[in-house]
Amino acid sequence: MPPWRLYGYAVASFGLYLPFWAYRLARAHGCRKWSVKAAWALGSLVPPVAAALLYEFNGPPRDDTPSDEAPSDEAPSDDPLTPAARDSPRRAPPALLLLLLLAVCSFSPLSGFYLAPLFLLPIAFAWVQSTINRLARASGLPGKTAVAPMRWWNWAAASIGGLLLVVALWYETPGFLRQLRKIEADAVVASDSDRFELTVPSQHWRRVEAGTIGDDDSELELTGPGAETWAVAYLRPRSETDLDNVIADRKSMLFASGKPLDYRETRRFLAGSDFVPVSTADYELDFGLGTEGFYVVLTAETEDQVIELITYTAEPAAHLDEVRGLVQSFALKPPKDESGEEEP
Amino acid sequence: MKRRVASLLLTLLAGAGVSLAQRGPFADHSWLHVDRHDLAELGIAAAELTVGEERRRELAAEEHPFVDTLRGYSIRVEGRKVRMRKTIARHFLTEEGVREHGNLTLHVRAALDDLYLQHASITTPDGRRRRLDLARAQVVSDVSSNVFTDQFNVVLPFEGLVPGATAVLVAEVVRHEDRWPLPWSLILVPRRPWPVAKFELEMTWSEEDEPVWFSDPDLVDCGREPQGVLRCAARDLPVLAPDPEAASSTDEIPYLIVSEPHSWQDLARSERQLIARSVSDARGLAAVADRLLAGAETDAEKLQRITRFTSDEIRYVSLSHGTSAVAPAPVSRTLERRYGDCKDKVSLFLALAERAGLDAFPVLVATDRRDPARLIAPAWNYFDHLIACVRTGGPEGEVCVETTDPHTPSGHLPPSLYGTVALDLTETGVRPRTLEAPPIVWQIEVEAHNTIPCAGEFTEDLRRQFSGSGAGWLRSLLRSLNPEERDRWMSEDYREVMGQDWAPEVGVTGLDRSDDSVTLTSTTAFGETRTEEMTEYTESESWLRYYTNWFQTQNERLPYALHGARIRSLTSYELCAERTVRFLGAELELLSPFGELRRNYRRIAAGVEVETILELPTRTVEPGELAAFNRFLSRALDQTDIWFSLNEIPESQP
Repeated sequence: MPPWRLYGYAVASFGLYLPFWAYRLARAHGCRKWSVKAAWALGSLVPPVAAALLYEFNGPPRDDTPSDEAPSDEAPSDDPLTPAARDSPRRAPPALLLLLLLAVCSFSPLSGFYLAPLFLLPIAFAWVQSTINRLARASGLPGKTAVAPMRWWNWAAASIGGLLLVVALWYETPGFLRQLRKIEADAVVASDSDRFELTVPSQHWRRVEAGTIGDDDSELELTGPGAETWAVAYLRPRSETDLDNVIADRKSMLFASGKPLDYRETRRFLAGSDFVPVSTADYELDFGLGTEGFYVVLTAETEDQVIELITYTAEPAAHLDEVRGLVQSFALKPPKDESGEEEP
Repeated sequence: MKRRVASLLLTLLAGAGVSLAQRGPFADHSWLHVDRHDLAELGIAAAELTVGEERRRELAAEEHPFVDTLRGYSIRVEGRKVRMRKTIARHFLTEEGVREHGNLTLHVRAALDDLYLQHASITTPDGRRRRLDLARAQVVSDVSSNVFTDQFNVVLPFEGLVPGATAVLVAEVVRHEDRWPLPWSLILVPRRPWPVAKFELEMTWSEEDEPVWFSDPDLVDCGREPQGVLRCAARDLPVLAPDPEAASSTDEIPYLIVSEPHSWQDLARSERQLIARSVSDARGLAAVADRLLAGAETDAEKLQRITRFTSDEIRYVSLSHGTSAVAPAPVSRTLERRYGDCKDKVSLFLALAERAGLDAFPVLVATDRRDPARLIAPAWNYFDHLIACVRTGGPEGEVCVETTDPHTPSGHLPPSLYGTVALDLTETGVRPRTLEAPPIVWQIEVEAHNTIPCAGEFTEDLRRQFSGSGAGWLRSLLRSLNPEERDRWMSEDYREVMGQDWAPEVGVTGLDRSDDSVTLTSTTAFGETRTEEMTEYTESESWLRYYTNWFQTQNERLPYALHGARIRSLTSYELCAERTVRFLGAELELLSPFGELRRNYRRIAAGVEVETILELPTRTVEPGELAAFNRFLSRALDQTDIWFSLNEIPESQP
């Protein structure tokens, strides 16, 4: 199969095609039965991961594997991979690539985390396919490929996966594109409902999609400088809660999440407001294993809403000033009336 | 012999009878006379006393109980004699009107006035007129505790009144202003809290007696005619309904004033002359002054001693007969009697102040007025009180003294006097002003010490201290109660805030000396408590909330005169030895144009101390600020719950 076709099948099927391909490859080049079953199980969850594992356990031996440790007796006689091919130095294990991608996505502001592996990982498999094709041609077995022709179940997987892919792209692309946009220092970022705004203190902040850090109903999520600095804001109707209750709940939650080392709270009226009380609370917590974190939580109560801005940094020495600057920049915007116009 | 005795007896009896007949119905009131006239003789047309059928229906539909169809005044100025004929015609619309307003009243000062009852009649619904016996008028003295005057109310209870009837009363008051030491003036109030269909004023005078008159705009139509005649009239006057939000309902009442021409300066001069005459007879003062001022080194100390003497050691009794209503008694008499009213005590104070070298002056006060601009013309009638003020070199410029208040500390006035209209009786620059309140009038300190044992009774020792003007208010209230009533009041006062479940041991200090603060104390046990599992403590600042609510306003339309307050709450918590405070609650810095509320926490040896201070300086809160003012107080108080967390008790070793 041409590598480009494999790539297309993999993306269009939302990765579901890859376990099929990897299974066939494993069958073609030696197979450990238990790994096949595991791959099928995993394949329904994260197809690229399943494919990578399947390949890893059952694919062609690595460069450092002696020829006499090749797959079992069940290896077909028309195995296009010669011992020489098995010794090819130009193969990158897909699992390794997958792990790299997972690591990148974990620390990256990019959301839609699974989209990156979906688009990038099949490249590794396509590369493997091109290697197999080249070896097959070299072995003089042009009709033999590591992958069987498309069967009906292949088409079913491709259709379902394709549908999932379309939905995912439709949902994730706007946020994904937004994630790629830089926020300039001193830029003003408004909440989703345009109820408040923050001034970003440096160019190290990115806006991320709701649910990336906090809950799906968050108003605003930002990632900041360093490895673990972020801000999440929530809005709650005043009819359901009040300032004291929100603060008490957050305090309970944070005190339960780690050993509290310090807690300080101040309250004032928001400057320029109609006596909107604002609480700013500092939490210093010990999460164990030498890990400490610093929260600065701002809570404001307007006539109709309670706004909570939770900021966190795991490196207070380096980033606490920036976090405080973000919190102090909090400013309310006039509520919009039902027509969407700002109330005077 | 027997015939002579009998004859003598008969003569005596006849003479007595004649005397009785000649004494008339008001023999005890030589100023009250019956001088019967028909309406026609008085030049009053019966038709003027009615109201049209349509208007009557309108008034009935608006549920008015009665209407004054005519309030007429005919004034004749003859030098220092002023004759005023007053005509009141009242048409009754309901039984309620008859019940509550079927008596018509005239007010007189016996020392100045002669009252001539000229006509009283009713016209029944069917149009018949019946004359009333003027001799049935009742004379009632205007009585209040410790105030003795020669002012009377002459009341005519009208007979045979039913809805649809009209009562008419005509009387003439001849005021002998030559007996009165101040420039004469009359204040007429055309609008009433009930409908007035017609107001008429006719004033005449001879050329050399021309009075002056002033009126609130749009109240009456006045026109001066040649040959010394002024006529004013108004029809269907709106019912007077002073705004309940108004700081002074009197200021809300429009009026017409007529008087002899004079200025505020003239009035002040006349008043000063009266006081000077009183001070000129100061026998016995020297000894009192020497005793009072012995050892006093500073002006402040002298002022304090003089204030306490005149306020505390001269009790309040007012003998206001004749010109004594405005002229103070000689200082010697006040010292001898050891009683006097405001003007007597002020004269005494001024005399003592002069001996002490203090620059003191008298000040007239209109206790029911707040706006100097509402005094549209000079007149003594506005003022009902006299105080003294002393010029000082301090930043406040002057210190005023209320000599009739034995409860308020020196240097402070009762809260009710701040903001009232005053007239300095000085030689220059005399014009109405207000008695300005200092930045802080109410000083309240609440100190609560809470003992929270690990196991045992949770107790609170509470002290609530009032200083300054507030101390005077509280001291006056508590001194008026006997000890049992006082204890009951203090217990109920505590329970009103803390709940009815508690039985505090209450006490009070500072009632004896009027310059001291007044402190309410209480000790309360809140029951057994076990704190082993307590991880945090939270409590509402109940007393801060309670006292702050005194200063919220219900006004929505009119300005609110805020008398400044400083409320400080210091709450401490003493924990048992095994518990320590871990984290503290929120520091507060709540600022506004109206004042500020601040709080901070302090760790102390046995626990924690929370100090909260609310400061609201004296100011006028304008209508556009009222909602914001209340909102500031409400939202600030919402942040004042006390909170702190406690350490976890380590598990005990086996």
